[in-house]
Amino acid sequence: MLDPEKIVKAAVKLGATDAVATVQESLTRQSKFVNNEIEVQKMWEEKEAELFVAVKGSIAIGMWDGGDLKGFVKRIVTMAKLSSPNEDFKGIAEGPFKYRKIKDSYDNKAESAPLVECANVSIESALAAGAERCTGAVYADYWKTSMATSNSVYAEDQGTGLNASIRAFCGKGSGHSVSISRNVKGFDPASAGEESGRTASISTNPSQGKAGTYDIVFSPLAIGNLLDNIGNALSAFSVESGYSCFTGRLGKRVASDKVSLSDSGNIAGGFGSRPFDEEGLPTKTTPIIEKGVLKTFLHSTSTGKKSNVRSTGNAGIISPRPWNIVVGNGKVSPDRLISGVKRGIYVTNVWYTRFANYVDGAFSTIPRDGLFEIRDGEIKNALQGLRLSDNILNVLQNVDGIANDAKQVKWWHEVLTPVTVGHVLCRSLKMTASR
Amino acid sequence: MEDIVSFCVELARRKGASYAEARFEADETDGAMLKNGTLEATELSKGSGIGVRVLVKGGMGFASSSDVSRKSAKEIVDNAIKLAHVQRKTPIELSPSRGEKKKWNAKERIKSKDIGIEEKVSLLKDLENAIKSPSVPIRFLQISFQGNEKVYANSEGALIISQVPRIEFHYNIVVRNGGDTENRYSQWGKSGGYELLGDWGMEEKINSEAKALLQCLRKPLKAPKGKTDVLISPEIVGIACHESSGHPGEGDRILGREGSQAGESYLGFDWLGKRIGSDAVTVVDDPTLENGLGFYLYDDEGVRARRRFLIKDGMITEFLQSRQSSVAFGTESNASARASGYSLEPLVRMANTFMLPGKHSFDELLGGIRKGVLMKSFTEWNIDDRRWNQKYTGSECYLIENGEIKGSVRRPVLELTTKSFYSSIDACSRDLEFFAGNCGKGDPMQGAPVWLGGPYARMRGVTLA
Repeated sequence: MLDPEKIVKAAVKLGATDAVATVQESLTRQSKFVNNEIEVQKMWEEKEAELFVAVKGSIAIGMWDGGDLKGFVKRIVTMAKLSSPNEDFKGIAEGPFKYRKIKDSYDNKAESAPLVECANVSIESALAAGAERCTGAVYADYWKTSMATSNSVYAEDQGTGLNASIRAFCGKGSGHSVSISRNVKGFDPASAGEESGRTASISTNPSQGKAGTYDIVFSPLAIGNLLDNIGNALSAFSVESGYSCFTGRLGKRVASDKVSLSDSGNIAGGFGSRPFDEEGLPTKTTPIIEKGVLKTFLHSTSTGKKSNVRSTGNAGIISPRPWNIVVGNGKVSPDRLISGVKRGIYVTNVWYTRFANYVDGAFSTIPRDGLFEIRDGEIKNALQGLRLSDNILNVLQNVDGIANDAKQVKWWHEVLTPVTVGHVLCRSLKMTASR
Repeated sequence: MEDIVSFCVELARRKGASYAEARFEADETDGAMLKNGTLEATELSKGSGIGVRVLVKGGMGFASSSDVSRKSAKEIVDNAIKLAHVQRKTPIELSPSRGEKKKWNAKERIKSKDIGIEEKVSLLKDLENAIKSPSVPIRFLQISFQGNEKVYANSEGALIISQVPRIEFHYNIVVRNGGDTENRYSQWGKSGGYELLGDWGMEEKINSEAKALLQCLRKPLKAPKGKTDVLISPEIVGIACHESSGHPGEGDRILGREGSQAGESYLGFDWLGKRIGSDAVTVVDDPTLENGLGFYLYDDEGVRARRRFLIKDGMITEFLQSRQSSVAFGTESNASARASGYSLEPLVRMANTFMLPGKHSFDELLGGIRKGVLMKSFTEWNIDDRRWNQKYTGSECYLIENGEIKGSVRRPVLELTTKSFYSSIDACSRDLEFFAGNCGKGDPMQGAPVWLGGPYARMRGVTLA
């Protein structure tokens, strides 16, 4: 019964007033390397079904991955019947819809990409650029998704993804880079290796950084982490519950006028691109912040109806989410950004971002890998031991330059939603250090 | 499922694996989430499958599928064997397991899966009614009831069958005073049955925390700056032990296996027997704690679990080891290998990590502070990826003067090195409290259910910001 239309039919027959079934079959391969050698190779074959059911507004959500599917559907509908209505739920999208294929999102060569070779190429490039050892992983993903809803939606898609993440070490220094692509043509593990190795080789003798207020130039990977967090805070679910620093700020200036940010579910080659969202609405590109002004939140049909706006194609029926966060290319080169900094810090990566308060935006994150002093417009010595402790709205409001080297990044759970952005200069952010 | 896992192991051996293991898991979780009083959804997830790991001529392969038929099992084994064929300078080795055969499970007097979803929703709604107020405008309450069944076999003759039910509860509240807010997130969890909710005390806990945070917003006193004494609660002690003793003590992390994602460690081979803290500090990790969220009796490599002393009287004593990591250290596994599902390889993980209690009462510790801060809970924390520079931003905190609590202080920040943290502790209380967590590690990410905890601990001469 792994057919979404059959699943929806069964759910409706049992009493569901709304039903959405998504079936995904996937094959994932990984070559993981540690200290310059392949450590383990893995392969996962999965068949999963996700079911959203509402019975007169009472919602139950199910994830199935093996076992009695018919019995599972029955249980989900029963759970919905036994619980109470979600007054915030205003329905699902009414289809049918036509979908456009996402350009550059499937490549049959990616399915059989030689991962060991890709890993070795990445390692060799890192070593050639000055690294002593490297650790990381290369992935190849294939998936086939089909979806049906009780509102006449049927949709299908298949996609591929290649992902290389490499961290290079040299003495006490390190550098991290990624290459992600939906196809073989755009996949460049060698460049990721070279970048990580180069960063590692010039950060070998870091000195302890001093706490203070600095102008900060973030690499795409570093600013991608913060933008990923910002993307989550722009979901209507977070906003309308009050749990977002953007609550109450629609139409207001939330960033410097140099910042324009979109979510794009249908961008060509977008690692998160998909033709339809989780209720079958075609995805699109939605400008969220335009020249610093907050224009919209991310909506599903239900959250949109509650706010009297249209869906932005970002279901998550209950909790909308971003697909690809796109800041795009700025006007100047990264070198030009750096040359405009008298006293600052260049951050190539951050990790472990945590919030003291999601409502007011206070957070901290730890610069990791190459971290460098900038003095009088030039990158100087490597640093260590600093923590960026500031407010996420300050980060946006203090943007003073975006470079023209936009790159798509996604990394582990630190940059979970793919982000396309170049280097970014933010003025006057606080760095703290252990005392 | 015993037949199928044994079949996988035997087939892998026939096909040339020098070592093979197979792990069947079936998981079922149901639960519910309330957001500001609205039942957002009830949830059910159910899955099962088999993962096979092999060594072939020193290379390692892992394959899995949700299809547990015999036909699929053959494909999984073939894939794992094929994947293991990689050239390595150094062959991967595993320290031996004893090939034990055992059935074990966490005790469950009332099976959570026999309790209807209506009752589980009522539990949340009752709690919501008890805590909602105009000064707590944002309330997320989420509960889940998990059941895990596992059948594990390896080519050394091990056959381990287990069942572990768990309950996890997360709450997230925002307290408001005018335009000002404080955020509080926490987690409760145990291994066991529905009866554990009988005395969980969540209504009193959340109300007390909300009241304290409101007080903090309304009338905060000034926290002392500069060097001061800080009395940290079991919650702070627990997270610190997890982050700066457990994680850096993971053998695979020390060897660089997680370097690209979760990071490396300040610890190394030469740290065993070295001092990291005062004599008052002993940190253990113990999977065998009954009802601990990280409870287990055998790990996912078939090794019997025991308590591990990570730090004893201030000295680094033992690392957490899997069968693979232990080889490099010339030792044996201490049963620290866990996988968070059938499709994931086992990694070195913590279980229930805590500081051992001391000899003092809370009042004695408090009485010995002339000027300082009591940090009862934290709102923000992080630590660098070598586990050396750590930060805790206090949530419910109080000024201490001459051994007495004087009033609330707002978001004092403790930002210090791991050595400073453990060295500054001069005494611990007799209390022992645990908190739940989901620890993240691995690529792909594996979330492992854990406990963290400890006593109250007094830190001398640390710097607050």
